[in-house]
Amino acid sequence: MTLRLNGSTSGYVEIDAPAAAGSNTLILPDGNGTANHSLVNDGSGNLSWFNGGPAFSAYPDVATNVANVTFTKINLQVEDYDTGNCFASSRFTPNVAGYYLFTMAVQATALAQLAPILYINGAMRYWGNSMGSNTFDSNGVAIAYMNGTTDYAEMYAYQASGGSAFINDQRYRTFFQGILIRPA
Amino acid sequence: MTLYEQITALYPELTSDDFSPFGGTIALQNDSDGRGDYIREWNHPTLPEPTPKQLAEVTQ
Repeated sequence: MTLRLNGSTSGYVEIDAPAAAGSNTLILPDGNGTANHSLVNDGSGNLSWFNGGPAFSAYPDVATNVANVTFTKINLQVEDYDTGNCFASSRFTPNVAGYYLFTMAVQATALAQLAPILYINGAMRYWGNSMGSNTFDSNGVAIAYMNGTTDYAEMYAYQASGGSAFINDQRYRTFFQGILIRPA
Repeated sequence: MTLYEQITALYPELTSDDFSPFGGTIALQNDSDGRGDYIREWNHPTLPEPTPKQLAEVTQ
């Protein structure tokens, strides 16, 4: 069975079912949505407009003192953007389940074996680059699944220079970013 | 004096390998929440985890 909608001057649009259609209902949302939003299914046939999911970018406005061989959370007080209002208190708690790409960068003001580290739910998950001694800038990229309710991500730093090191608060050298790349 | 410095003053036999994130047995952490550095993991095979009192005495 096909539902045909004729154009007012010419042509038509048809909505069709597969040959073996089963028993399915798709319920459209009650609005036209926003430009570039797409329809997504909740698995029960309820369709809604989807804006692509959360994305954020944040950086510190004060330098963080990291003691030798001490995993230290980098507080990120300034947001460049936070599309889903999911970033607060230096913690990203996305409200859409799926796979997220994270990028991290830290820069130290002293010689240090330096690395950014992605923490998920308070535990170390992925290391960034740690390029031995005399490293000033280190970066990291990771993909992690987040459940869209309770999972949260934070950025820590680690250095083993033998003494303390300050993590720079310049936006272009120390930052933490994340974006949904695939809904669950 | 940092926690690392306190621990290594108490146990001079510890080396950087003991604190290595890859194969070490001691992990220190700071959650930047005002509580300062703390021992997240202590799995050293022979040395016991120092008590807060021992660490405090190191700084005196």
